[in-house]
Amino acid sequence: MAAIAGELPEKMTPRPFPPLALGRPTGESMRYGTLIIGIVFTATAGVMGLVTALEPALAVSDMVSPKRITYLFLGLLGLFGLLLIVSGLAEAKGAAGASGDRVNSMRLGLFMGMCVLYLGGLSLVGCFPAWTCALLFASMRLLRVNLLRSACIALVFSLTVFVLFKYILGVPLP
Amino acid sequence: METLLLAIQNVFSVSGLLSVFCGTALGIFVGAMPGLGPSMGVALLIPLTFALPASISLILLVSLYLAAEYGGSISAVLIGTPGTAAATATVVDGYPLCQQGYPGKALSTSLTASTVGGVIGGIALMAASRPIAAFALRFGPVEYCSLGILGLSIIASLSGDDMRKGLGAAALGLVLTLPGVDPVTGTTRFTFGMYELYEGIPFLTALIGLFAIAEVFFMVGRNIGGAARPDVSDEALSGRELRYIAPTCIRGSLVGSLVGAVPGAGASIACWIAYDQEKRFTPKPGRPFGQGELRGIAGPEAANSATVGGALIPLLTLGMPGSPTTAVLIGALVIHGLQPGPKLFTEHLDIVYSLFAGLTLSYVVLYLLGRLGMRLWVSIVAIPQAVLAPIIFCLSVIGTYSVRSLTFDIWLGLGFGLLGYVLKQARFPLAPLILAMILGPMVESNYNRALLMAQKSGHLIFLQSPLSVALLLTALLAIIYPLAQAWRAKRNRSLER
Repeated sequence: MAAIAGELPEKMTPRPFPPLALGRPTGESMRYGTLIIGIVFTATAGVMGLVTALEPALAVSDMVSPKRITYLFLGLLGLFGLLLIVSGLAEAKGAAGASGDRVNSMRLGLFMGMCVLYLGGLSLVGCFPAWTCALLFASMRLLRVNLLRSACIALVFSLTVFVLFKYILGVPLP
Repeated sequence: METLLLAIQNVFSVSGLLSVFCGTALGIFVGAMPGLGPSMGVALLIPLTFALPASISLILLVSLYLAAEYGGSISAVLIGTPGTAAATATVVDGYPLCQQGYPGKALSTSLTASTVGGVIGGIALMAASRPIAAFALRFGPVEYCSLGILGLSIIASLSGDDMRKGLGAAALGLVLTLPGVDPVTGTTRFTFGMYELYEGIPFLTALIGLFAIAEVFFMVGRNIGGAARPDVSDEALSGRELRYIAPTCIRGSLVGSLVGAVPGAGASIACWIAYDQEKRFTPKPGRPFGQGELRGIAGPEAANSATVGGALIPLLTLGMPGSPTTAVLIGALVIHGLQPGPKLFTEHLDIVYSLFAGLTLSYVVLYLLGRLGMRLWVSIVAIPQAVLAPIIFCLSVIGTYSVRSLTFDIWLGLGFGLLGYVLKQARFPLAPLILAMILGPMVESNYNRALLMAQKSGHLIFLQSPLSVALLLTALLAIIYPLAQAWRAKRNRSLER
C-alpha cells in the first residue's frame, strides 16, 4: 500500500483527513445520535408511563390520551431525524471547507426551524416536558455540546422547570 | 414612620432576604454572561414573581438589575467582552489590567466602584423621588401628554448612533401599541378578528421576544462557546488605591445618577461620559489610560451602577421609564396591579419604602457576594453559550405563555424575537421601540382626555399650560439639537476637505 502511494503523483497522494470544523466525523455522530434517540425515547416513555400512573394524583388527564402520545412520539421522531440529517449535513459542509459564516447561518436557520417545530408541537400536542427535553437535546447537539452533557441537561432542566412552574408556581403549562 | 418600619420589617423577613440574595446572585450571573443583560434577566424573572407579593417581587427584580450592572464588568475584565452594554467602557482599562496579571485587582476595583455607585444612585433616588412625585401630582392629562412626547423625543434622539434609526424604532413601537380596543370609542382596531389581540399586544411577551429570544438567535448565529476559566485570586485594594479611586467613584456616581434619570440615556452612555471625565480629571494617571488605569475602571463602573437609582426616579415618580430595564419593571408593576407614577407614593407608600429598603440591602449583599464569590463568578464566563441559548429559549417560552396562558402568545414572542433579531442586525436600537410601547398608550390616553377637557379650544389647550409649553419646547429642542450638531459636523468635514 505504501509502495503504491509512493508511486502516485503528488496531487493524488493520500492525505490525512482534514480536521473537521464542526466536531466529530459524521459516522460517529450518527452512531451516537442513534444511541441517544434510544436513550431519550426510553426516558420519555418512562416519564410518560410515570405520568400516566400518577394521572389521578396529578390531574393531567388530557395530556396522556393515546392519540396525543402518538403525536408526541411522531413529533419527537421527526425532530431527532431532522437533527441527525442536519448535523450530518453541517459536518459534511464543515469538512468540505464551508466558510464559518455560512455554517453559522445554516446552524441558525436550523435552530429556528427546530424552535418552530417545538412551538408547533406544544400548540398541537402539549406535553411541555417531553418537547422541551427534545428541543434542548437537539439544539445542544446542533451547537456541538457534549452528548452526555446535552442529554443530562435536557432531561434535568425540562423536568425541573415543568415541576417548578406547573406545580409550585401554578403556571398551567400544557 | 410606621410605614418605613413596616417596609424594613418586610425586607428583613425570610422572603425579603431571600429575594435580595437570589436577585443579586442572578443579577451577577446574568450580567457576567456576554449577551445576557439586566433587561433580559428581569423579563425572564417576572413570570417567577407572579406568586410573590408585589413588594418582594420588586425587591427581587431591582436587586437583579443592580447586580447585573456590576456583573457586566466580570466578562469585560476577564475576556475583554462586556457582559452588558454598560460595561463597554470598562473593557478599555479592565482587560489590559487583567492581561498584565491583575484580574483580581481589576474586579475588586469594579466591585468597589459599583457598590459606591449603587449607594449614591440610591441616595439620589430616595432624596429626589418624593419631591418630584409631590410636584407631579399637579400634572393633568395635558402635562402628561407633553411629558410623554418629551420622553419619546429624548429617547429617539439619544438612542444609538443614528437618530433616524432611533426615530424609526420609536415609530414602530408606537405602531405596535395600536392593536386592541380604542380607549375612547371602544372599537377594536388592528386585531384582524383575533380575540387574543383585544387587549393589545402583551408587553411582557414583546419584551421577552425582543430581548431574550432575539439574543438567543444572535448567540446561535455566531460562533459560540465558553471562554477558558481564568485563574483569579482575590486581590483586595490597598488603602492607597482606595483613596486614589474614591473621588472617581463619587464623580462617576453623580454622572450616573444624572444620566440615568434622563429617559433613554441609560448606563451605556453614562459609562463613556464618566470615562471621558476621568481622563480629564486625571492629568497624571498611575498607568496610562487604556493600559489598565484603575480610575478608567472605577469611573464607568460607578456610573453604570448609579444609573439604576437614577433610572428609577422617573419610573416611580412619573411612570416614565428611564431605561429599557425600567420599562420591563413597569410591566412587572402593572402585572402586580400597581400603576407607576406619583400616586404610587400616596396609595402604595409601603411598597415604595420596601423597594428603597431592599435596594439599600442589595448594595451590602452585592459587595459581600461579589467579594466572597469572586472565584465562582469568574467561572460563569466559562459556561458555553451553546448550553445557555436553548435554555433561555425554553424559559422565554414559559415566560410568554405564563402571562395569559395562551399558546398564541408563544408564537407572538417568537415573532418579536425574529423582529428583534432583524432590527439588531440592521443596527436599529431596541430601547426606543420598547420605551415607545410604554409611552404610546400614556400619550394616547392623556391626549384624548386633554381634548375632551379642551372642548372648544381644541389643541390650543397644550399651549395654555406653561409647564406643557416648556415640555413641548424641550421635546422640539431634543430633536433639533442632534440634527444641528450632525449638520455642523458635516459642514466642518467638508470645510476640512
